[in-house]
Amino acid sequence: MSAAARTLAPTPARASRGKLELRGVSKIFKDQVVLDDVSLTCAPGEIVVVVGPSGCGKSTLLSLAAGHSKPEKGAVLLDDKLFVGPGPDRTMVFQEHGLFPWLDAADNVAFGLRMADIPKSERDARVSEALSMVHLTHAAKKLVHELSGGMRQRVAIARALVMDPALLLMDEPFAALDAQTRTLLHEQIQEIWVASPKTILFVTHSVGEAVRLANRIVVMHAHPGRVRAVIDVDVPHPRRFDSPALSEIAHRVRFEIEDEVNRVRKQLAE
Amino acid sequence: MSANSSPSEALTMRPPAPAKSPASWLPKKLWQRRLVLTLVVAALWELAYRILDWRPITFPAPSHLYYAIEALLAGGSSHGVLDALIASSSRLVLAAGFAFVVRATTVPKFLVWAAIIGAWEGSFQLIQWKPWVFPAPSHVLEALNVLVLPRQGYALYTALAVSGTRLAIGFSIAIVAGGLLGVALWRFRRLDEILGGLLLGFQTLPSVCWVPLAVLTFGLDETSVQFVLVMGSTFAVAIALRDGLGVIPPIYLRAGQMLGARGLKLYRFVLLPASLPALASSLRQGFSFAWRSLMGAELIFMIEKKGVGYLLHQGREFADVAQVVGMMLVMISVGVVADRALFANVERRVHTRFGFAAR
Repeated sequence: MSAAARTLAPTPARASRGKLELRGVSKIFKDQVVLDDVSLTCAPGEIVVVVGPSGCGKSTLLSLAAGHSKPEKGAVLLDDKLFVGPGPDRTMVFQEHGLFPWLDAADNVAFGLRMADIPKSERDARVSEALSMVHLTHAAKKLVHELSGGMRQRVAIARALVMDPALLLMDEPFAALDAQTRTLLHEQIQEIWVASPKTILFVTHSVGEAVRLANRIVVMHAHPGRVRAVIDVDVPHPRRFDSPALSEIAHRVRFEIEDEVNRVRKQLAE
Repeated sequence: MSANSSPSEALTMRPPAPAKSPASWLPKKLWQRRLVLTLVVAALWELAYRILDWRPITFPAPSHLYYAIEALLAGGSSHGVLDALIASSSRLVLAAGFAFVVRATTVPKFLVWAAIIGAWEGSFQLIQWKPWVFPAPSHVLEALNVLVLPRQGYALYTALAVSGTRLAIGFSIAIVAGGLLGVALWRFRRLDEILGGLLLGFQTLPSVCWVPLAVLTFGLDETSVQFVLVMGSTFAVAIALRDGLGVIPPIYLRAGQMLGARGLKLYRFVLLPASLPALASSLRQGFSFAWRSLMGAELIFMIEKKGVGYLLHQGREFADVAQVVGMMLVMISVGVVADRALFANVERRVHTRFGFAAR
């Protein structure tokens, strides 16, 4: 499927920017090929979720998109432009929140705006808007260690969103949370996305999470990392986690992953 | 009298069962209760003095404080007032220190310390060992008291001022030098591989071992003392800082870069605050090394300005074991007070803010 066809697909492409394009990207660590000629395009305002067995290069994919590392071959483009290094137009939510413990919640959210020398009045307004988006207005003055795991991730999301990035990268952001909190955060992500759709590249181990959030699911092939299958999720947001349409798709995704895991096992046995 | 109210208050108000329902014979208002307690303690204190008839130079009774105030009021000239103030200052310092200790400690802790000192003094009174071989607490106090008298040139205060100044200058140099070295070692791993072992060796080298080199290179003067101090503490600061920086989670760097912190901003807004716990512990570590080095140097160097270490040396020269033990206690107190009041405090605050080891 071409990138153009993709843009017409299920996404309500209301976003005007945020087209991420990976063109034939290869990443090699020492002599191991982590990603091998991967091409992937995320349309503006689309949620693409990447799943796959361990070692398939999911996280490497994210760090390339973030600019934390460079591909050995190929190119990564945002809105048809090459970028160098990490930057606030591509913010990331890490698995381990990565909030700064010496700042309170509000100052953590304000950090990127301060680095961009945004004047204080505008900064304060944007910070409180971002905090209210993740329902954390009451916790603005709390220190990081005073927040629960779920609250920390919400602050991390607010910190990423406040920069108004073209692209939001999420690296298994909810993996360390309990089931209830995770469900709550799925709802909040959908709520935020419906209000203002952003391109989101989301990496997860959880098939349930993938089908709940994704417009498109990319199942990775491991050793070396390639795109194995792309599955569209043509269900409007916000979604209920027990919707029958989702469970059928989840079944397909799960089948692909299991098949891939078996293939890898056989490959390693040889 | 204000200095007396603290110990009495702390002693009586600290016991495990909080004084929520004070005895009915006590007045209701807090200040009245404090006044009563102060008077009771003062009366017992004075009574103990009258019964035991201790040497007033060792520890004053309330009536002595009264006489001191009276003498102050009677003696007109400002010089006389100053002299009188300084002469009685050791007692004031002692009383204030005592009050501080009592305030800061719980009743059991205080009792244990009182028992130790009481047993020490009591055993001397019982056995009457040779006081020139080992002093009793009262001898130590007396020796320290003598050191602050005008005819001794206020030796203890002068020494504390001299050592304090040296420490301030030398430790500042050590912080800057050790800080830069620590950052360099952390930033350039290659440098650490080459120099790390040597620096560790420098740190394990007892700091007095720098003395001969200092004497030959700089001669017998202030620079040598500073040299020993700086050499003794710089590497401790550097190593503690390097180790602390080494454990900064790399995710802070990635998060900072992602949010647009580049170049100097990354240092100022991410690395510097992230290294605060490391900085705090390196300061604490460095201070104890600096203090040790300085005391060692002053014990050996006989130069114009006499520091605290010199007074220890003087005690040995005069075969005054009370002064020796007294000066050791002074050194210990300075170390403990500086550590507790300054560095441990800073470290605890940073740690609380960062949320580890929340005590």
